[in-house]
Amino acid sequence: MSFFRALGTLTLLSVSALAATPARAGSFDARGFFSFDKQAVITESFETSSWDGTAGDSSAVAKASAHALDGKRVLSVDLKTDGYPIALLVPAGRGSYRLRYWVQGDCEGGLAVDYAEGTRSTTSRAFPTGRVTSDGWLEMETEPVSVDGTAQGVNARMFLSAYDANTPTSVEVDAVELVPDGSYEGPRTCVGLDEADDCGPGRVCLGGECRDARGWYPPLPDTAERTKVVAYWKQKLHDTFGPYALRHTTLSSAEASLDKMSTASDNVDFWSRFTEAIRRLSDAHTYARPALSDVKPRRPLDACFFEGDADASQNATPSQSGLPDILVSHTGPDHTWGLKQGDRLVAVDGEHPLTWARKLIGTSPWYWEADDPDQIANIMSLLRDVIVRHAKSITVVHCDASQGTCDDKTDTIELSSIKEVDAADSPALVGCDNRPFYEVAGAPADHRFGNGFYDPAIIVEGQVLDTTNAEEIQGLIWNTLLGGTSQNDPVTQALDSAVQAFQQARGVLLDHREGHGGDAPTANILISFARKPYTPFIGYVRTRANDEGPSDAAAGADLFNRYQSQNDVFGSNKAHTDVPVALLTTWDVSASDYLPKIMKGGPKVRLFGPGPSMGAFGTFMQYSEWGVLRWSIGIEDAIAPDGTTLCTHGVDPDVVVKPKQSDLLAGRDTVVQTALAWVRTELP
Amino acid sequence: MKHSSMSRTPIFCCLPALLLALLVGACGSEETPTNAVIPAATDAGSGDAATTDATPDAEQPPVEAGPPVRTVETRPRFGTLDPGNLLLDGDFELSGPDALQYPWFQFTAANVALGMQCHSGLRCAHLEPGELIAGVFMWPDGPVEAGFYARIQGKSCDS
Repeated sequence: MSFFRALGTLTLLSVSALAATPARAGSFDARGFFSFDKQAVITESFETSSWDGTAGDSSAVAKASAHALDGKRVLSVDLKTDGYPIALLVPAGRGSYRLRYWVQGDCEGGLAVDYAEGTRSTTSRAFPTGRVTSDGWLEMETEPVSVDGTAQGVNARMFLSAYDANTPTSVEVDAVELVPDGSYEGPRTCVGLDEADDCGPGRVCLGGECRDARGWYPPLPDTAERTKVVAYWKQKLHDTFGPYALRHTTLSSAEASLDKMSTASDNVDFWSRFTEAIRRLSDAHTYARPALSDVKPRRPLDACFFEGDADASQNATPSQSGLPDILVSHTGPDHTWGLKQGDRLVAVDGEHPLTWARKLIGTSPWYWEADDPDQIANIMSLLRDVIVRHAKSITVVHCDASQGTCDDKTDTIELSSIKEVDAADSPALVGCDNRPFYEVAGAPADHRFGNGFYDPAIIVEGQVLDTTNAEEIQGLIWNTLLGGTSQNDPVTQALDSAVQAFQQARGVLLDHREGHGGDAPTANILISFARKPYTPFIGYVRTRANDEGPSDAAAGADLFNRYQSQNDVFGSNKAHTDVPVALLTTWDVSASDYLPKIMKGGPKVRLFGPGPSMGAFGTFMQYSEWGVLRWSIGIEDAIAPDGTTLCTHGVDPDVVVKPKQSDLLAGRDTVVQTALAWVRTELP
Repeated sequence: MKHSSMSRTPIFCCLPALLLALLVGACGSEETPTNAVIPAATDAGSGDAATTDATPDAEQPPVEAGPPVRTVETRPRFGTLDPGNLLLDGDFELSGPDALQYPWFQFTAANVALGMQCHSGLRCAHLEPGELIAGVFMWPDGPVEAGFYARIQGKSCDS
């Protein structure tokens, strides 16, 4: 987090007392004057200009205020893309503390602690206590955090950050207090998913270490509120969850997970069951994200996996019937655990990786599923994230690209043998884009093309490498369809520019092997090059609480016919239907489901890939509990002209092609080579 | 970098017209109902059992007499949680403007109001004259009743 960088430039909050009694909170007298909790070990009300400072592009100034809660000043903080840290000089002993502060304005905040040795860190996000004042103050507090004040280089700080880094925010803060609460708990080791429950309540096993997870989730509601939260979200899921087929297959499982919340004994258990419910809906638009972004793996793995054809390593271990071969697509420069491009991942904790990963649906916040059960590219892309957090060992087959051969035996790597890295030195990992090589010049070496929202999009267009000028085959590599309707949008402009270049082409290769979706108008920029106008389906947002979708195909067709005039027409009368267009897909969701769905069947369009797209045809609504827990729920399905609903039915490639291990070792991209061969046969 | 704004094309798909609950920051029409909005804090929740701290903490020392400088309330921090409210987020508690799209359209960080000025829970909406936000709700089998709490800040609708 960038706001940590400025630490040390700020005045430290001072220690005023040391105690170990249960926490209370600051209080108000009958006239509304505030007093700090007498047990607080740190109190601060920003009464001097020593609190003025900057952190990156954020800044703060202690200024006089008529509504100061304590003293005469408040800390006024301008938050931009960087957060703002306030250093805390914690007591020298070991203790457990809860941070409280009062704020005017809307921002995220919390307490973070780490140490000079780098491997231990804790973050606890602040959530409202419910107390508010008539002059606009809102009290926030974190969950308790264990702090080892005896350790070297204790770095404890309160932090503030804007909800949306793109939207600068100004807030005022006053009456900060750090109050003893609970008992100190030191580091403990654990194994895998902690089936032995070595970590205990409020903690989860990640990468072999028990981590305090209380601050990653909202607080535990009181008993009466718990019942209300469960009832509320059962109703909301029933009312709003849109994919019709999944309503029949996964909704009941999600509701059962919600029911388990009622008996939870701590906030981690309670909200983990909520996130489990969201995951069990098994929809790519439906996911939950606790405040885990600060939780860096101790043993990062800078390698990407995808489904392939392990043709070069059958001697080491044969493929398993009904399960995919999994290969290393590419790696970063370091933290590869000895893996190289073309190596094969055979097992995780002794099981096939897909079998192992699917068991994580009940437990791992890093796991989520696509709508189409046959779409496994998503789980392949998640593997590196869940392995480093939940696995004990991986079993691989190493290969030698220089010889084009693989070992005739497997190698098991214990995660405990991998050297830990300092959390502050956690590397930026390569993107897992399912592209082992690039067929157009200018693609980023780190495989990160950006999604066009959080990261600027990179879109690469040009003549396909290893083709002749006479062939005139143009290629496009991109990940996002998030351009909107503005002609000034950089994604829209880049795709418009690419399509302009296609006007002179005799063949086109569209590489969308990592497709994050976006919006229909942007998808239509490309569709309009290849297809005449038509309405491929209607979008059907759930608007009635008792809507369970068309009763049969005939009823669905009636709906399509009734509403098709209100839906998008894709394609163009100016389409170049004589130019062959190869569309490469692998990990494609939402609008990136639309793209292959609508392109497929075009006179000169052919889809190439290992399996179906995710099958999430629709849109979503997102929710946020004060930035501590965020989740999204898919609210839409689509209905085809024949009346079938589309969610759960990903788009199958016309040509099923999986990267060959032998090709990877030889530096060849099986999918590109196959698609290019077809384009060449179809050149006008 | 892009801003999250609900004026954008709905993400991933076209969203049909389901903007069934509208709050418009305007007034002056003779047809304006008595609870129309206004530069105001609005909240479609059904109200909370907020607790006002009317008595000093028992451990507090005696205080000098004088007018109160502020009052303090304790609100339900998860909102009203009424399953019967058909709006996706009638309380505004979950519509943090930190996402691509959420249940209130045209609702930006500038519209967020917090704390005691809200009728229920801890979050609500502030609208300037002429501003509009639209909420999404589910149609039940029968007719619906729509209502919300609002108050005008300033002396008139135009100020």
